[in-house]
Amino acid sequence: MKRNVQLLYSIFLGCCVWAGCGKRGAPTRSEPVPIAHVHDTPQTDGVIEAWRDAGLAPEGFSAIQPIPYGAATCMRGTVQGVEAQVCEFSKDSALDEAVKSLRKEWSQNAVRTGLTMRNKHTLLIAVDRAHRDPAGRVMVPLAATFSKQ
Amino acid sequence: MMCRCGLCLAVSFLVLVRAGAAQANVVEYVSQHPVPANVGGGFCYINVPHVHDYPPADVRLYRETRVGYYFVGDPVAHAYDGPRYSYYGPHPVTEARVEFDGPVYCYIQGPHYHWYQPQARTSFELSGGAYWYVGTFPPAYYQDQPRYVGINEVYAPMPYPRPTVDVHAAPSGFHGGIVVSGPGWRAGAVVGGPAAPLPPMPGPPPAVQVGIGINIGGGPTVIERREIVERHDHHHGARGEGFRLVLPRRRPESRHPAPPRNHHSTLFAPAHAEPQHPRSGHKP
Repeated sequence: MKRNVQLLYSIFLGCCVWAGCGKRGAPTRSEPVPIAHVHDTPQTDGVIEAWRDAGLAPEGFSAIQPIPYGAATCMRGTVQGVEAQVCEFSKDSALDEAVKSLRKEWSQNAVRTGLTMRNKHTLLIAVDRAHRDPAGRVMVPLAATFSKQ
Repeated sequence: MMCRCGLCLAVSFLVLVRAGAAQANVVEYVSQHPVPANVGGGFCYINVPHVHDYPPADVRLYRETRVGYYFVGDPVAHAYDGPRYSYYGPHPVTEARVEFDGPVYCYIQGPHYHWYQPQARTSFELSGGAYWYVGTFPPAYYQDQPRYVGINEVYAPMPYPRPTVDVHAAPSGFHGGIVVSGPGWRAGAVVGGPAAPLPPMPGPPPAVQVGIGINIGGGPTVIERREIVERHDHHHGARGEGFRLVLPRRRPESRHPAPPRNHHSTLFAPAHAEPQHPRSGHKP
């Protein structure tokens, strides 16, 4: 009897392992989401790398899920206390709408400093909610580097 | 019943107040600008369109464009410490990266700074340590003058280091007035020579006017013709007082005078127009 229970337990464990292996290809919450870049426009990860090359310190950048503003892909993080978001858009109309909705959002939730900048089909959104950059010392190189991409 | 009505009114009031508070200000700026003292002061160096939750402290220092406020004042008066170029008198605003719907003019009289260099296509002469506008102002400049000349009232009482400009080197094509000193021009405000401590003046002499139709005193000084004004200003500051002489040289009233007498004058020469930086002094 005891042997039968052990056998059943082993079969159950085996099934569990098999079932787990069968789902190896599917993305889990902890796995990074593949980025669907838009052609002929600065790419999100390239922009972040350029900031790093320019001496800035981008931190915690990851793809946003669900993707906001009707963009193709968006990454968000902080650069020396300034919230930064870079989004690639397949449609210009979606980019324009994104800028409008951001302005609306900022008017409802006061931000000390906000900046949107477009480079081809990529949008930079930089927000200083915590008053960390009152003189724009971070925002200036952030925008300048982005515009050169 | 009364109590319930009162409660309803109080709730309605709170809802209205909350709704008002939720609609925060979004003020658009298209250039660098001073930060008002009530939100921390200093200078915002963001030179691309951006928004803040505060309005300008003084709209006389701005032009309202379709896309936001553009700062037309002297940034050095507001704790700005970036690259700067010296100007003398009114001139068109010619910042390369900014396109306005129509011409925009700076109405600041006397020596002042901007962060931009004149564009090659505009008529500026670099002479005596500053850019002088030697082009002709269109009627729009004069039409808008009453509206914008008030900017001088803002800077008049402000002691800050204005550029050192040799007014003897004024280009002959310069149409503005030459003001040697004015209200608020003290401390570093030196015209006609390097900054140096000046001896105390013996009593308050009257203002001396050379020329026609000058109005100087406490208020704004508007000078339309070429004149040299000697003003004795007696504010007692720490670094010498705002008085500096100038040779009372009469100039022809003609708008098309003889060629420049000053061989140092250079018609817009970018090679000579290195930006001045606060740490490298204000050498012309």
